Amino acid sequence: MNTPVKIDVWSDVACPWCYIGKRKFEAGAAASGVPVEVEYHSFELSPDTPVDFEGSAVDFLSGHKGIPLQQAKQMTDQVSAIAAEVGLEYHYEDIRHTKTLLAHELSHFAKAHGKQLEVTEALFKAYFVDGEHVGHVDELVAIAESVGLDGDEARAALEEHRHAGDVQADLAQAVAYGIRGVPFFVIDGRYGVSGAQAPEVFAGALTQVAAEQAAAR
Amino acid sequence: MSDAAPAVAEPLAPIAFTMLPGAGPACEGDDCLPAAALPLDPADS
Repeated sequence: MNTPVKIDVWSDVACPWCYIGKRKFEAGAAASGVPVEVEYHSFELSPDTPVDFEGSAVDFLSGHKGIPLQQAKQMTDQVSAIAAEVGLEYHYEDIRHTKTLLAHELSHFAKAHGKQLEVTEALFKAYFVDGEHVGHVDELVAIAESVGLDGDEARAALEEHRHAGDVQADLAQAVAYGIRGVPFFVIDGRYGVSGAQAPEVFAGALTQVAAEQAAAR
Repeated sequence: MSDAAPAVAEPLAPIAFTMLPGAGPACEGDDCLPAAALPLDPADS
């Protein structure tokens, strides 16, 4: 049995390319047949976003870029079309734009309880597909419970910010690595892959790393 | 000492990885939809 290849992924819940990249990575890993162990790390793209932004992601984009709503919608439509190519049904009109720091704390809580991949998927789906708010404790507890985590424990961890230090450690590590954009994948601690690249790129890198590991044994 | 920043859990690993060539679409800052990469139809403007 081959040892799983470790994959460290820096990602943000509010990053459309991170969810698309997750699907592309998963497709590449499946195609390679190489077993992987994936760990997600926090990256906060827009720290100054208010928790309770009034309006949709399209409204935010329009205001942030100073472009008409129609133009912003055309841009998000293009991303949605790319998401659809990997089987994701983005609903930009329904997205509840918010600060993602607390969602990252939930990710670390889930990691500590062996459910980080499930929570990562649930957070992306809640944000991009289901139009749920991912900036409030109540909604995040519901997401935790949806993947089988204890709701009371999750609430306590979020309200007491027990994993704030873990989030900050990830952010500091990203700075140390020089990561400026996400998604960003580090394969076996040796190879960096920037952005939502094609499944073939991930498959090729995994195959190469697996061969290198086998040769070193 | 008060109001100290949260402690970093582990020492930072050295930067030792090699970047694979190429780059896919990504978000940088809060810019996920660079206009230059997503040309718009002039007829709609």
